[in-house]
Amino acid sequence: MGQTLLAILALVLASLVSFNQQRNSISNYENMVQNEIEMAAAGTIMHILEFAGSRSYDDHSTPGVMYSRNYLPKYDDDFVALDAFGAADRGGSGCDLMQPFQTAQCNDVDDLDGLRAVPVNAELSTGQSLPFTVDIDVEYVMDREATQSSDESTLHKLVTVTAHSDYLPQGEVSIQRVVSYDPVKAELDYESVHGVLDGGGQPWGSGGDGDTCQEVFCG
Amino acid sequence: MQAIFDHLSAIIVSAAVILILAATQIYAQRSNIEQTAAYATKTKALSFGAWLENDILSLGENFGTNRFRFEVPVSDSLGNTTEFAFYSDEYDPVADDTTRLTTRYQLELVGYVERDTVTTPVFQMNRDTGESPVTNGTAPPPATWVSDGRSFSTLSRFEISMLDRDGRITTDVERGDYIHVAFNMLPQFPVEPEYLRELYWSSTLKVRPFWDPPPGT
Repeated sequence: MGQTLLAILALVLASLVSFNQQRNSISNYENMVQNEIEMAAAGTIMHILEFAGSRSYDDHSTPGVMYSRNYLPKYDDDFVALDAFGAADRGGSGCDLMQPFQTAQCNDVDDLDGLRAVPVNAELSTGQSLPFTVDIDVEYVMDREATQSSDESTLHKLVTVTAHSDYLPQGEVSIQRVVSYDPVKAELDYESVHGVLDGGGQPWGSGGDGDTCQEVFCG
Repeated sequence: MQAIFDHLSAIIVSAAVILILAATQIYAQRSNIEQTAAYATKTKALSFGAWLENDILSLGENFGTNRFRFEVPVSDSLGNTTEFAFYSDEYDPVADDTTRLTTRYQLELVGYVERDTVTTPVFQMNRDTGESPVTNGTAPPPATWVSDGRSFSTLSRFEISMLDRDGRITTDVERGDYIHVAFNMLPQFPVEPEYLRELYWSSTLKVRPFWDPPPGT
């Protein structure tokens, strides 16, 4: 009887050790896969952020609005208020985050604000892809370091992209970036649509706020 | 023989215990090796990615404005970039001459890895540099190429594509405002699971504009 109990005890202990090791292996596998998916998601978010920065800073610095207003934004209050962010301006087609040319109306940074659960794929090899959903928030911040958010318009917008997937650690990964207004980029955007500004282009006379001339174009 | 039958139960139990412990040890060892290989692969992928970013963000250094700073990437039928070259200039104020540094990536097939019924090609990315003198803003192709490190031989995919400002893939270097880089890296010592582990890395980097800003900025 005693020997039988000892034998059962030995088998139980060995099974427990084996079970514990299997559990560790599964945990290690999950961590490794989560790491791989996190890296793939980070690359995709970087792509989204880079093309967020490629859009015009604001609706008022898009080529069409600059042309119609005959004015290059220059000051903080030249830009739209917070309540004009997001769906108010981005058009019915929404925003294609990976290929912005597919959604021409989503043409400035704050058009991305409020996007929720947008499906995005991280392209892997041989036709494989990892599906994510993405949320985006945009807000005004006081400086490039995003130390303080602002209710008033400023020259800096903080873009926060959050990717969700059941396979990510904690279910999500989030990356932020500050996009600052650059009048040189606004000029380049303008030139790509309406032609070169070398004296023969749009004169940039009186502006929306009564400016007589934008110094970057007056030379 | 009698002794064996006398202790048959004990022998069966002890054999079962030994088998369980041996199997546990083998699985633990394999798991540790795989974990170490995965960690090493991630470290290498991040280093390789940082090198690529560094190369691409600094392409065109000291270069004149409005000139091609990179060539169109050449791709194979699988979409892998087999060759990509880009330039930067180095000015010597003492000799008052300029040297063009050309950096070239070339992808070389080094073998295959088979898992189950899937065969995955393995590539090595070779990074070479060459120098040539600049005369009136132009330079001939380098006469000789020197292997310049930053090379990896466990890539299963390597793609470089040019994108315009709206995210379209383009083959026009004048419209290439962004460069998208993606690679998959395999472990140096792949263990034997049923599938092949790969690490996926990608980034999109802005390389333009490189024109003179308007006066006053």
